Amino acid sequence: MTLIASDTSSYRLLPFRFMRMQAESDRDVLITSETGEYLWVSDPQLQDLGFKRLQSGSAFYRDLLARHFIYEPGRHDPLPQMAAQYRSRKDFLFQGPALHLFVVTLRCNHTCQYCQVSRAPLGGSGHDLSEADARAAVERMFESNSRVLTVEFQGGEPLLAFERVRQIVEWVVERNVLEQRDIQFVITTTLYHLTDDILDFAKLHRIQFSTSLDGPASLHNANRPTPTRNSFERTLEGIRRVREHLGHDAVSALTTLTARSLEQPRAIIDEYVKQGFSSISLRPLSPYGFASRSAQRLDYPIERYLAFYKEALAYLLELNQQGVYLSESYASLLLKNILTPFSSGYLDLRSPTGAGTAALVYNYDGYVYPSDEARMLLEMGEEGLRLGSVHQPLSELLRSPVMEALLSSGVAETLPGCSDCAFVAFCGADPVEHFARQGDPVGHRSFSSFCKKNMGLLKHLFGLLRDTDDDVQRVLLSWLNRRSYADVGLAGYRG
Amino acid sequence: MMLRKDTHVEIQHLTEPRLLKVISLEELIEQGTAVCAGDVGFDDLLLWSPAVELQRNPQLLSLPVAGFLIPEQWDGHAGVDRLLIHSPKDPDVVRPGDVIALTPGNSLVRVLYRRGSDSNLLFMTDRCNSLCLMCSQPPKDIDDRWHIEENLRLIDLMDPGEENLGISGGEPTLYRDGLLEILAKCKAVLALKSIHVLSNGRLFKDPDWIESLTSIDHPQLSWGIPLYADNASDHDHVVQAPGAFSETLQGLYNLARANQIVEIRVVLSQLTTPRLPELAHYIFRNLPFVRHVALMGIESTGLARKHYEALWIDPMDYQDSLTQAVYFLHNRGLPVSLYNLPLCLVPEHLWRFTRQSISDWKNLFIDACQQCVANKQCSGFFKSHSARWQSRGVQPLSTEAFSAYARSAQ
Repeated sequence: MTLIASDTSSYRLLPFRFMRMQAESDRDVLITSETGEYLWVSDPQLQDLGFKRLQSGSAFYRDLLARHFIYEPGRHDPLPQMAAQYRSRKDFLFQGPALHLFVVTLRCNHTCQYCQVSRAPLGGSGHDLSEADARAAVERMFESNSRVLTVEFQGGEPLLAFERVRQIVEWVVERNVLEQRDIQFVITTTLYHLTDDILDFAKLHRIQFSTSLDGPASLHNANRPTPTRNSFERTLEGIRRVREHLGHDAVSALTTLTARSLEQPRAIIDEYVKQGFSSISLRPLSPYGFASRSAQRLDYPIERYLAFYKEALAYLLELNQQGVYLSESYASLLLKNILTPFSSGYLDLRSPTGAGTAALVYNYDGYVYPSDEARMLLEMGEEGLRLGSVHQPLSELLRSPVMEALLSSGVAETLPGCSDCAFVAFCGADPVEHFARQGDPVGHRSFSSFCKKNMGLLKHLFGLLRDTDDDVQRVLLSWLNRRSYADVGLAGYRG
Repeated sequence: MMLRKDTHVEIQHLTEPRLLKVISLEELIEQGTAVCAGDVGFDDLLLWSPAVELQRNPQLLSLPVAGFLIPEQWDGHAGVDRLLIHSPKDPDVVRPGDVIALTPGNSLVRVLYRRGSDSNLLFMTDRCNSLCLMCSQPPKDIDDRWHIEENLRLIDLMDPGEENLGISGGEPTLYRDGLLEILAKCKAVLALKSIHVLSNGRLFKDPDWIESLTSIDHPQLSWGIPLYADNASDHDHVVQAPGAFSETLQGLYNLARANQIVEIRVVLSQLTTPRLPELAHYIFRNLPFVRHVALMGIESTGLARKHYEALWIDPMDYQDSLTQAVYFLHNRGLPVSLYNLPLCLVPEHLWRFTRQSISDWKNLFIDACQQCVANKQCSGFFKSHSARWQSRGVQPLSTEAFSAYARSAQ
C-alpha cells in the first residue's frame, strides 16, 4: 500500500492549481496559487510537493513557501500576505463603474460588414439620445463612487450627434467643479465628420479620439465600405487633423480582424508603425450585431485567430527589439495580470465580471446596459440584458435581476471549467459573451471561444516568459509599464 | 570631507547639563530666539564669537544669553562668571546654527543638530528587541528614556527650515508614547522637515498603532523597515529573533492601513544576497504599497565585526544577484536604490541606482580613492572601513570609465 498522506512533514499545502503545458522543458507544469503567484515545476517536483516529500531548506522549498504554495504551521502564518495579494488583485471591486458609454446616436454613414452595433441610416430619426435622457445619464454617472471616470461617446457615429456630445461634456465639466473627479473624455469615431469647431472643443476639454484602422488601404476599404470607397484615406486624413490640432497622442486606433485580416498580420502591423501609433489592439471579431449575421463570410474559428496572433506577436517583438515602440494592448493587459500582484482592471478580464460593475452603457433609447456587448445584443433582438431606464437611480439599476444573473454567473473562480483552471487568477468571467454565444451566461467552457482565446493567449505568453531570451523579456517588460525598450536595460529576475 | 559630531573643548562655569543653540551675533540681532523652530529663551542660546570681537565689544558679555563660544585657541579670561566654551580641538565641528550638548565635568561637546545637514538624527534609545547579526550599533539593555525629553528639547532648538531628519535607535518604537509625542511635535514645530524613521517594524503588529499614526497624520513621514528574506527561518536568523518575520510583516500591513509611506531596507551580506532576487519578488508581490527599496552595503562595525565569517561576501561576488534584483524591481516600476556601495564595486549597468548614502559625519574615502575621478559621485566608505572588509574590486576609476557613468546616469 502506498502512503498517500503523512503528518510527519513540517509543511502543509495551501490551495493551488496546476496545468501541464506539454512543452519541451523539464519544468513543464505550471502551478498557480489562489492569489496569482506562479512557478514552473517538473512532474517529480509536483509529486513531491503533493505527497509532502519535499526537503525543507532547499531552494525549491523556499520558493514554495515564499509564493504561498505551502506554509509551516507554528512558524509563520501566511494569511496576512495572501489577504494582501487578494486585495491587490481584486482592488477594482472597491470602486464602482468607471467607464460610462454614451450612445448618442445609432446613425452611421458606414456599412461595415462586421459592425457590432447595427446602425440606422444617416437621415434616420428616433435613433438619437434625447436631451432628457442624456441629462439623466450624467446624473447616473456621478452616482458611481469611482474617483476616475471615463466618458466615452459611442455610436453609430457620435459626431453625427455632436451637439448632444457637446452638451454632455459641458454638463459633466460643470458638475465636476464640485465633484472633483478625474475625468477623461473619449469619442469613438470614424473621424469623417470632424470640423474645426469640433476640434477646438476637443482641445478645450482634452477629449481623446478613438478610431478604427484595420490595416493597409486594401484591407481597410474592404472591411469598411463607404459609398465613396475612400474610407482609408478619410481615416488617415482624420488622424492627421486630430494630431495637428491636439497632439500626436490624442488619437488611438482599434483594429477589427476579419477572416481577410488573418492572412496579413505583418501588413496590418506595418500600417500601424507607418502611422506612428504606439499600441495596436489585435482583437478577434465579436459575436454581436451584424458580425453575427454575416458570420459565414467574416467569422473564423478561434484557432485561426490564435495562429494569426502568434505570428503577429512574434513580428511585434522583432520590431520592438529594433527600437520601434508598438505594444499589443491585450498582451499588455494579460502581462499585468501575470507579472504583477495587480489586475489590469480590464473589463473582459475581471472576476467578478466587469459588466455593470466596471462599465455602464446609456443607450440612445434611454435604457441602461451593463456593457457595450449587452446593448449590441439588443440590436440582435435580445432585450433581456437591460438594467432599466436611465431615469432610475444607479443603486436600483445595479440591483436589477439582470445584474444579479450576471454576477451569479460572473465569478470565474466558481464557474465549471474555470474553478480548477490554473489560469483563473489571470483571466476573467464574461457572462454576456457566453449568453450571446451559448444562450446561457454560465456557458460550457469546452465550446467557449472566450475560453479558447484566453487559454490560447495565456499559454502563449507564459511560454514566452519562460522560454525566450532576455531581449524578448525586455520588450514584454517595456509594455508592462509603457517604457522604452532602451529603458528596460536588462531583463532582471524573471520571477 | 568627514566632519565629526563631537570634539573636546575647554568649558568654564557649566553647572548643569545643557542643550544649547549656537548662534552668531548677526543672527542674534536679526532674529533673536526666532532662529529656533520652537519655543526657546535667550538662555538657550550660546553666542558664537571670535575672541577679538568679544575684546572689541566687551558689552557683548552682558547680553542675556546662556554663554559664549570662542571657536579658536584662547588662553585669556573673560572676566565674568558666565558659561564660556573655547579652544575646540577641531574648530570646524561646532558652527553657528548647530545644537550642542554639554555635561559638567566632561570636556566633550556633542553636536546633536548640524545646520544644513541631511544626516541629522533624533536618537531614541540604545535598546532593541532584535539582535541583528550585522548590527552596527549593538543594543544595550538600559533604561534610557531621557532621550525622549532631550529630543523634544532638541526639536525646539533646531532651525525650522526644509531638511531631512532621521529618527533612529536602537528600536525607536520601544518608547511608543515618546515616539508618538516626538512625531507630533515634529509635525507642529518642524513642519518643513521630512522625517524618516528606522524601525524593525515588529511592534506595529499591535493594531493600536494604526489609530495613533493616523491621527498624527504627518505629511512628510516615512518609515525604513528592514526585511532580510522571503521566508521566516532566514529572516529570523539574521535578526536573531524567532517570530520577527511574522511580526514585521504584520507591522508593515498595519503601517499600510495607517497610510504610512514605507521603504524596505535590505543589508547585503553572505546571508541575504543568495536569495536577493527572490526577496525582491517577495516584496513586490506581497507589499504592493512599498514606495522604495534600498539595498545597502554592510557597515563593518558593531556586531558585524564579530560575525565576519557569517556575513562577509565580497560585493564583486554578488553583482549578478544584485543585478537580477534591481532590474526586477525597476522594470516593474518600484523605485530601487543602492546604498553604501562604491562605484568601483558595482557594474556599470547599476550605477544609475547608486546613491551617496553615507551620513556626512562618518563618510570617508580611502587611499585607493585618491587617484579616482568619481569621488564627487561615489558613496565612498564608512569611517569604520578596514582591510578585512575591503573588496578585491576596489580601484580608482579612470576618466573613460567615469564618462560611462555620466551616460548611464542620464
